[in-house]
Amino acid sequence: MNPDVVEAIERLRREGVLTEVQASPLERAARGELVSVEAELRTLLYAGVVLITTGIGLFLKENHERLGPAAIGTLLALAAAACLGYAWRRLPSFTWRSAGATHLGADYVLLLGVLLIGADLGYLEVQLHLLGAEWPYHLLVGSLVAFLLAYRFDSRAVLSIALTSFAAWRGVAVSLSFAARSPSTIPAVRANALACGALFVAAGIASARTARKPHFEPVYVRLGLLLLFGGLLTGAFGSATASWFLWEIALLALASVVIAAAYRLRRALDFSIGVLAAYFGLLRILFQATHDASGLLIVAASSVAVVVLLIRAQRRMREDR
Amino acid sequence: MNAARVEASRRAEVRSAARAWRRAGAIDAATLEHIEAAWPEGRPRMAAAWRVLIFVIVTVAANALFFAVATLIHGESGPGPWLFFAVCLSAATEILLHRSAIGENGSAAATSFWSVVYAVVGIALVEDAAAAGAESMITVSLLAATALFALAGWRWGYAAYGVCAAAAFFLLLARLPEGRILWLVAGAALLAAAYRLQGLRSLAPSHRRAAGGILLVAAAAVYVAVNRYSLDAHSIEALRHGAGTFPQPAPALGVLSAAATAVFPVLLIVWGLRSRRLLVLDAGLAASALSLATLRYYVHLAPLWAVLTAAGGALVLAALGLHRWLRRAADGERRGFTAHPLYGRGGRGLEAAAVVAAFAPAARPAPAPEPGNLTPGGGRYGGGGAEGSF
Repeated sequence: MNPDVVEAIERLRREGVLTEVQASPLERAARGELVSVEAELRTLLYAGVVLITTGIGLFLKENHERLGPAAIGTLLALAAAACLGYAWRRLPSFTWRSAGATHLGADYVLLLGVLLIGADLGYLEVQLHLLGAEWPYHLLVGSLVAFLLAYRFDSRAVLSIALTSFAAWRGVAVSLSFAARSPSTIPAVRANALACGALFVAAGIASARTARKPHFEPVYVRLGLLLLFGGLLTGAFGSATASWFLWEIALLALASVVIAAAYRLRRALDFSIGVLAAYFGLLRILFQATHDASGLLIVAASSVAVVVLLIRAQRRMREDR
Repeated sequence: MNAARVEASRRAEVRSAARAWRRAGAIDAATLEHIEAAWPEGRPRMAAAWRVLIFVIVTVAANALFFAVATLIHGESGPGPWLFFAVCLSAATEILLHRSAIGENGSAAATSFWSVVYAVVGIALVEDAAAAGAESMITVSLLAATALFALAGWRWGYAAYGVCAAAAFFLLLARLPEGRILWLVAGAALLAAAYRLQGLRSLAPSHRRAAGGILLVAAAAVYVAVNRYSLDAHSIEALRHGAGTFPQPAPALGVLSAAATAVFPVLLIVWGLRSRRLLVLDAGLAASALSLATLRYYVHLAPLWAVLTAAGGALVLAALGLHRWLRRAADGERRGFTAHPLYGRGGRGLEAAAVVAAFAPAARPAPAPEPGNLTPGGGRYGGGGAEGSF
């Protein structure tokens, strides 16, 4: 319950700003007489999907030799089909716009179905070597299936699976675990991260511009920005040779573009991503230039300068805009 | 918190609720405008991402400044610089929150947090200088953390400090004899107190939120105190003595603990349902999950994969059933519960992030430097810990 809001509603009702019909449900919610368990249901569904996929992963690991690929592949396909069938019945038909309020449970059943398809494709490929040396293409196939289902069922969660699968096909994990990789492969992974990031950002902009699923744009753009900045930061921080400075220039240039665009569009999260990336780039230069206490003082001073700049920009990023 | 900040935070609550009503279509634009004029914004409140950004940068600035000064006056490693810097940061917090219009942007959150951390480290170093030993230093640090976080939360109004103070308080209790009983008694008392404080109009909104956080910590403490696995593993006792050998609990105590492990989550859920307090209900659901994990630890009914899949399936089916049951009721409401989002903020952006975090597939290995080294058949897929090669 929220006593401040209860008091405000009583005042608004007294002043005639809210009618009785308007005020009554608002007041019940503020008093805690009516509460929504939507978040709890979502959490239960999410936890359920996590447990099922984990259980199935363990099942495949422990039983694949006993049951054989045909039985397991069929079982997974049937389970995925059942999930998709449920989603098909419950979720609204295709539209290029947002489908609006969807069926809460069906969203997660759809997600489970997509994950089962991915697991099935991966399992069959590993067992039967259908694609031979081109085995990573099963990730692309999984990505395309998820992409189509995301658009058909208007699911941002499934779209994020499609995009991460696509990146995985190119050898890029969204966690960007460059450190765990062999140094000789890092340039290739970085190039793929940058290419995927640019592609995702372009797709996001195209979504918004063409009004084809414009609400998918943040998913595209944020994943794209993470990959782009991740790639550039590993170049700036990880390159032992003089090339780090080129990566640094590219990082600061991209961060400037993102900051300017996010400022114009009043998007606090994208603005913050851009500023953080530029800030880390700035720290890289400072650490390169100085190695003693004066370096730390410069870091402190430059951080304060960045905060001052942010304060000047902050009116545009207010919570209620 | 001074009166002006309390009043500003009350107005912010009303403005935030009104914007949620507008998003849900419960009021029109003109009504929202009227409410925003009647409850004007005291000082700008920034978006969460913005506050996190400024918190991070101020954190870097404050720590860089401290270590730069510490490097310059090298040789001075006692508590003095730590305590002096804590005072400086406290003063900065006061100025930011009470003498400027920019304190709510994350900067005061950072300075206040680090002021407490530096003060706690300084006090620990004072104890260290007195050669009182490591155990004494830990106890004094926890005592200081409890008091300072509670004071900081009360003065500056950051709800998270209530959680930090409560957590430090229970860690402190664990260092006393009979720590488990103290966790149980103090946890139950704090649970009841926090429950009442959560709805008090006289408290500032942030203090009410802090009470919510304390409620969760207290519920966790009671649960750990009664949990059977925690009893057998001496989780609380180990916080006092470190790893070592402990006497086995009496069989009757074990049976009592097993019963409490099963009953306590149910009590929380029933309490949450009857009072319609979601925090209590959520605590009960989390405790239920832990109790089921405890049961699985002691009783092996089936292979792990079967237990996980069955539990996941049961969760999905239960959630779908509950959703359907609520949706089909008159006005979509039963006993004060609804599955409609009401006037909350939602959290759909976080949903995609959670999906990426849990289910993003592992990347294929990058091509090896020498040609011909690519080995097919190494693909991985899965999520939530299920990843691994087949």
